[in-house]
Amino acid sequence: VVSQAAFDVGTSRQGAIMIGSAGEITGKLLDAVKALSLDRIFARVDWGGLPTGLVEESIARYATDIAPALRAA
Amino acid sequence: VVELGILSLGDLQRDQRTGRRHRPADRMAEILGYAVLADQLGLEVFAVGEHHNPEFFISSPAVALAAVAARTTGIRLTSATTLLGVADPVRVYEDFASLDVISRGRAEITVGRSAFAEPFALFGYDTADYDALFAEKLGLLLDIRAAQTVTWSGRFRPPLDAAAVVPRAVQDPLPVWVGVGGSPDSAERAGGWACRSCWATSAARWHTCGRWWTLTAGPGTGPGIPAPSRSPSPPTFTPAPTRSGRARSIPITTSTCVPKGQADVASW
Repeated sequence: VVSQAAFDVGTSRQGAIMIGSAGEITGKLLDAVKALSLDRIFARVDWGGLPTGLVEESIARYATDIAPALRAA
Repeated sequence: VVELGILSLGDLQRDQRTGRRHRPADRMAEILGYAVLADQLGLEVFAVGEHHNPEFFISSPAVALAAVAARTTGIRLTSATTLLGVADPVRVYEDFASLDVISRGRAEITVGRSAFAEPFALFGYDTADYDALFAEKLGLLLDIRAAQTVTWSGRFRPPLDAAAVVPRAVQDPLPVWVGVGGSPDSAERAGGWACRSCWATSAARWHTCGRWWTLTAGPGTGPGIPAPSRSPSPPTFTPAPTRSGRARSIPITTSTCVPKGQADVASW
């Protein structure tokens, strides 16, 4: 279970919980790639019992709306 | 160019309406669907975790990934992580080399120490040997990866005398990453291996990961964030001399973040 405090940190600009618009998440991930010199990112897309349809929508947004900017960075 | 992937731990949640746990067969079908979708949309890598308790159903990542391999064409396949400390490196190599053969060169292994204690009891090991098990077994795994015929002896498994370990992976070398999470200590230890490291976001903010990264790679090699000051801890691990290939990745969680903070318990 995620505490409210951990959730607030995670959903902040420097946090690891990716909830937001594709644009917001792109910005957060670009920050992380830059700050940590990442060469690979895993999105844990189905944690916590998120319904299948929402997981699939998340994967599609990640792969089509967010991926191009990350790959171009 | 950063590679983009998705990760499932195969957790079994309770249905909000019935209160019953999701069934493994249903979850596996869902996860296969996510992998197929990710492959079709051009994501680069797909990972599953390994757990040995009733809240998760994937205890054998190579088996689950073999099913993914059969339904996908381009996406790379990795564990996140293989609990190497409680496994036989011969078997781990055989399983992932088999996956590499099945997938024609798309398999990778991410090895970790385990964030849970129960695998140690289950497989007959002592958590007091947490670090020694991992160090010895990673050394053997890398020996097996390097050559088909292995002569080896150590504390935690019977010796090998010119033993053949087959099949050989399609890829040479088969990629092996070291999973890191949970503590600055585990980050620091990962730096000793000639492996890339894969980080869990047990740190709540990137800044914390960056500080740990400095511990992994050594001063002046991380993203420019000073390492945290640490209280001295007893030396339980001697890093190998090589410090090459330190690329790294981080799994992002979309729905949970459990900061383990500076707890000294566990890597992944």
